[in-house]
Amino acid sequence: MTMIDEDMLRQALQAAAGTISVPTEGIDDIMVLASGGSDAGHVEAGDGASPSRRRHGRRRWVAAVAVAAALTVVGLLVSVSIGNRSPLPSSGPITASVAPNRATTTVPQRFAAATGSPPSLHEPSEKVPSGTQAVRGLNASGTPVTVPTTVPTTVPPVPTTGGAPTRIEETGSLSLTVGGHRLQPVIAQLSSMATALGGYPSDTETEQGSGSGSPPSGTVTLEVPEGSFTLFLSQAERLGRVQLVSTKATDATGQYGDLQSQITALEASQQQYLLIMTKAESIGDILSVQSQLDSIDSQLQQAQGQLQLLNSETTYSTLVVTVSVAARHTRPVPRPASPSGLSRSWHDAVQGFVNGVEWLIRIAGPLLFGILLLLGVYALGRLGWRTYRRRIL
Amino acid sequence: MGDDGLVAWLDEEYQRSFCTAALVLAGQSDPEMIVRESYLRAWRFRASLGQGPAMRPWLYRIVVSACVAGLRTSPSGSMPPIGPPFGEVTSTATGEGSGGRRRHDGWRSLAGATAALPLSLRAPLVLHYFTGLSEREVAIAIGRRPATVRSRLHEGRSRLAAPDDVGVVDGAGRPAAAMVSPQPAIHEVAR
Repeated sequence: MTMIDEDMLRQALQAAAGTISVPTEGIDDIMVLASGGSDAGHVEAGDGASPSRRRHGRRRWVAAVAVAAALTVVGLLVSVSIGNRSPLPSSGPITASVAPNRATTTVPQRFAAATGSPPSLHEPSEKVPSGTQAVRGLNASGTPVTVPTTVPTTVPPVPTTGGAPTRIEETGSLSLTVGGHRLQPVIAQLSSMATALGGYPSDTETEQGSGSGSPPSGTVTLEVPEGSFTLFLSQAERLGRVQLVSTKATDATGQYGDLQSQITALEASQQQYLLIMTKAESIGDILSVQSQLDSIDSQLQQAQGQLQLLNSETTYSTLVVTVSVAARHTRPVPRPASPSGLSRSWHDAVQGFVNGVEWLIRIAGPLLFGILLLLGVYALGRLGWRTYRRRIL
Repeated sequence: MGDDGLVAWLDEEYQRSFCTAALVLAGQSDPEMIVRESYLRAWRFRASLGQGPAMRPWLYRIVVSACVAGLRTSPSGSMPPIGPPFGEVTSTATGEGSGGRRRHDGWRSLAGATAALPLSLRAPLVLHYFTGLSEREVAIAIGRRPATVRSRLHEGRSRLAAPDDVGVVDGAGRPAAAMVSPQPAIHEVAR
């Protein structure tokens, strides 16, 4: 391959360099600039700074503006994320509308009309739909709550016919907390109260403190005459601190009437078949009529049993009372009535400090993301510059 | 080496650095600005300066980097040539006869052809044949391997021997080398 002679090339370049006029003051100017500051970037553009230095200054400005823009974007993202965050769930709306330790329930309008009593048993602070049940009391943290459950009644609004008595099936549960050694006396008192009103305790169960550490408790199921249920409930609530009250009233008048009509019809059919039986002559006819009579008798007994059960349930209301001994550490620490200004200021200062730390932690994530993004862009830029330099050199 | 010794050494190298930058830039940027930038940069980072023979490739690495940056940001041909046109060497300057004139015409043409080479070939040629750096030092200066430098030098010399391949033409469509020197002058100096 033909190539240029090295010496000739060397001489040509030397000759070309010989034509270049080198400024004699160049090195002195550079040393003056260098002695003025070790950082060349500090040379002002106005005193003869090179275009390259001006470009560097402009590049720094661009970089600073880019960083500021990135930080602005990150800040906007943080503010947007904070703004979109839903407020913390609060039990305020629930507890604010309900007075603490007040049992509230609503009974069906038909029941109220029949008994002449107001719809609510105890100073109602809110109403729940007719035919539903209301549960009210204290939650695990001791906050009073009311939860109206949407359990529709199965009783259609059947009008009373012929002055038939209204049948209401009512049940309820009551949770009480009593002090130290009052578990057994309260249970005994509940039983005696039910007996005094014409009712009776159908089930009693007590559990004394065991190795598990749970406090002593007891459960008593009381059957109270339906007309005295309200009175008994109000008396029972006074025996301790109410934790939970739940009542449920269901109109069973229609079901009662249906059962009665069914029994009447079955009895009529039974009479008819008995009349036919007297006139039967062949063994086949007798067996056939007997089979029908057995079937009717079975249905009749089933309906009568249901009627008796419904009669019992509507005659006596069932109340399940759970009594538990309060733990000793539940006594609340009395708070100062009104803190002084200094105390309030200290509290505000601590709260502000905590809020600041929380804010810092909250923005740490987006900030870290932004920093990583900038580092990535910087690394890509460096890589691109090196690649470009390698490509052209 | 102390600061005084470094200043003296930089002073010694200034003319060579300036010419190196001018040859590498080939009139496409201001070598004075590039050398000033390079020297200031070298002074700022003098703590990382090598000792002894490592100093020259270190300095010319800075110069070449500044040249690359200058070429990247300057539009091609925006700067006027510094001093006489690149490669313009007259026989009257050397005081030789017609043989010397022919030889200097060949140098002129050769220097012009070198200026027309791409930077990837021009920089190693200038650093090796003008600045006097070894292939290893050129490799340090341009950030490539010595084998690559060797290959670039070989290719550069080959393309200078065939000026039509340089690729730079004047306004009349003639090769740049032919613009400044008759064609036989180049082949005369070819091996």
